[in-house]
Amino acid sequence: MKSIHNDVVLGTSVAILAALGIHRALGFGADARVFPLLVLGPAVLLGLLIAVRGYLKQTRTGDNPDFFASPGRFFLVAGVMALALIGLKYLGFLTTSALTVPLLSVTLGYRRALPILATTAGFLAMVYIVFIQILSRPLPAEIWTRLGGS
Amino acid sequence: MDLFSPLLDALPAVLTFPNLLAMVGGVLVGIVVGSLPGLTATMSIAVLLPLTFTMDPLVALGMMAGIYNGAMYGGAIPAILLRIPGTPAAIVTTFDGYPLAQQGRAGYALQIALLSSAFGGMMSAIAMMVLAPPLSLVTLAFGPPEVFWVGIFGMAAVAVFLGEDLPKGMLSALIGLFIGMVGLDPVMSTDRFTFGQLELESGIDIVVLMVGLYAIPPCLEMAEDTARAVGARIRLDFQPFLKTMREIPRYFRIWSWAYFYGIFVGLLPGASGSFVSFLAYERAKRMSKDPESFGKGNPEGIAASEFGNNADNAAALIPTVTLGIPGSSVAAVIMGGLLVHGLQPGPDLFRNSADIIYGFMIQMFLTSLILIPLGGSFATNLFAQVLRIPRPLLIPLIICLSIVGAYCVQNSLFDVWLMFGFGLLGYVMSKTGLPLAPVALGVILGPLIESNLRLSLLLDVRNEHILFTRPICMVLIALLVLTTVLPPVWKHIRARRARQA
Repeated sequence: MKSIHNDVVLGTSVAILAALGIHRALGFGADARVFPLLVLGPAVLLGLLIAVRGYLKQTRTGDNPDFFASPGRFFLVAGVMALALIGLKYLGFLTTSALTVPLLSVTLGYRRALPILATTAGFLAMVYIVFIQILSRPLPAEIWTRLGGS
Repeated sequence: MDLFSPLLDALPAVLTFPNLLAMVGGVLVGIVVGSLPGLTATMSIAVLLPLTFTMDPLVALGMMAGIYNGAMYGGAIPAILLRIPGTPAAIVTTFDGYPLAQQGRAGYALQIALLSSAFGGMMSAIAMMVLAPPLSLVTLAFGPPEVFWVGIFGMAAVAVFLGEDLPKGMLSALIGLFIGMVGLDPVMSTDRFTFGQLELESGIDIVVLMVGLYAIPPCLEMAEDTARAVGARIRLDFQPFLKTMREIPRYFRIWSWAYFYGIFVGLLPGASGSFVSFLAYERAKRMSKDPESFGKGNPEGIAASEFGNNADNAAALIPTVTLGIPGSSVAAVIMGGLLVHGLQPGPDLFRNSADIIYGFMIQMFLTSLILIPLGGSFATNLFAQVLRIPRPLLIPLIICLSIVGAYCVQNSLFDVWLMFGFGLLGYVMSKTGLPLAPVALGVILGPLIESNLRLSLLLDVRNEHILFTRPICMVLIALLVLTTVLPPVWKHIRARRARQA
């Protein structure tokens, strides 16, 4: 079965999204919609051009490069990152990082405990010193500080 | 003699021990801050400003000059090593810096970035010393219509030259302009494309976009290739520093153009060093005998980008000190620093506090000079060790660093999710051959272009078409046509001739 060329998916998606953007922009005030329309109008046309060109290219040459090199590893990293972002809110930055770095390293195939622990500790120390101590940037509160404070 | 006597008068105060210490400390802090995504020179000067209340004004300004110049170089370090621009100005440095690092020449790439940054900063300081009052008048000649065309010129040039595929380059630029218009519109404050999210009303911060777009896709791509990545380490290939110094004449032509762009754009309020590096890179690529090698690890690309974004450093301060109009956010914070110490920017500053303002100009020069030993011996060697970390361990570290970088912009978890979203967008763009650079430039220039377009239309009360009839506008339009239309036509003619031959 012949799959759809990446450019066809890209161009069509961009054209549809830009058209929806135009629909929304028409609801803005007279002045506020000028620039969005100047940007989104050509985006629809370029999206269609890229889609048609991709279709013709595939028809002529049969060329269609794979999108993912390894879907499993892509979803593994994207999934762990999404989990880390959820964890950030409940566990705090340092705790989340202390869990994410070893977990992702091991699942990606690196199994040497000492370098993993040393690098994780070094990274946490750097963040703590530069962001928290020197520049006083408040990071998401750590779970242990909330438990201790209640 | 009139020019040099105030500089010579100010020199002894600059060379005192506390002053030198403040400059060295400032440069070190700047390099560290610049190398961490999410932390900018503006933010660190603002955070450290209260510490300077009790200091002598010149010592305080020396520290600010050091942080400013240090951070502008520091941004190149993660740009080269990890493809994460530490500062928005370092986006262009990723184009050739990262491929060069991948080829095992990270040390060399860092040396080129360091020398270009240092010389760019020094030349910018010289422009400030020599030409501050006359150059500040240029600022006054550029009204909204002229600034609008400067922005359009930058967008068009970059979309045409950076993408190998013109429709995709242009589409990327439009995506950037679209992202740049999310939030309240710049003139009437109409809510646009925020979908009811309060966090989006102030717009999308360039740091959040930049970290997502540039840091996350390489992590995903590296992870997809872990078979090669496990245990793989990249060579640093430091060559003797003197050998790199001897290569400097090779970059003179590129640096000259970057210098011109840096001074010109630096003077325009709202335009920034990030824009200069795009223009300088595009010019370097156009001048090169081997333009195909740009984006694949050509050191000339790093030289253009880093010299360009540092050439704007002191130039952006010229309208600040002479007219009291800050040309960039960091200039605004430095202006705050001047005011805190009782120094009122404007023409009187040169009469009433000549020692301090000329001393500050010397400090801008010296902190760029100090950058060479400090950046070369300390920072470059230290940070370059990052590449020795095995990739499966480097991937989560980059992800965590990106998270903290995005979070620190506004202390917002929403920004972190936004960064993740931009990361996925960057991955899709990378896989479908859409160039990333025009997106970043669109976000940087979009608000500038739109607000100046709308101000121009408001100013055109007598329907004189001021966007097209003012002399500087006409020159800029001619340049725009020459830059964007002629090269593709010329390329087509050459290809046709080659086919016929």
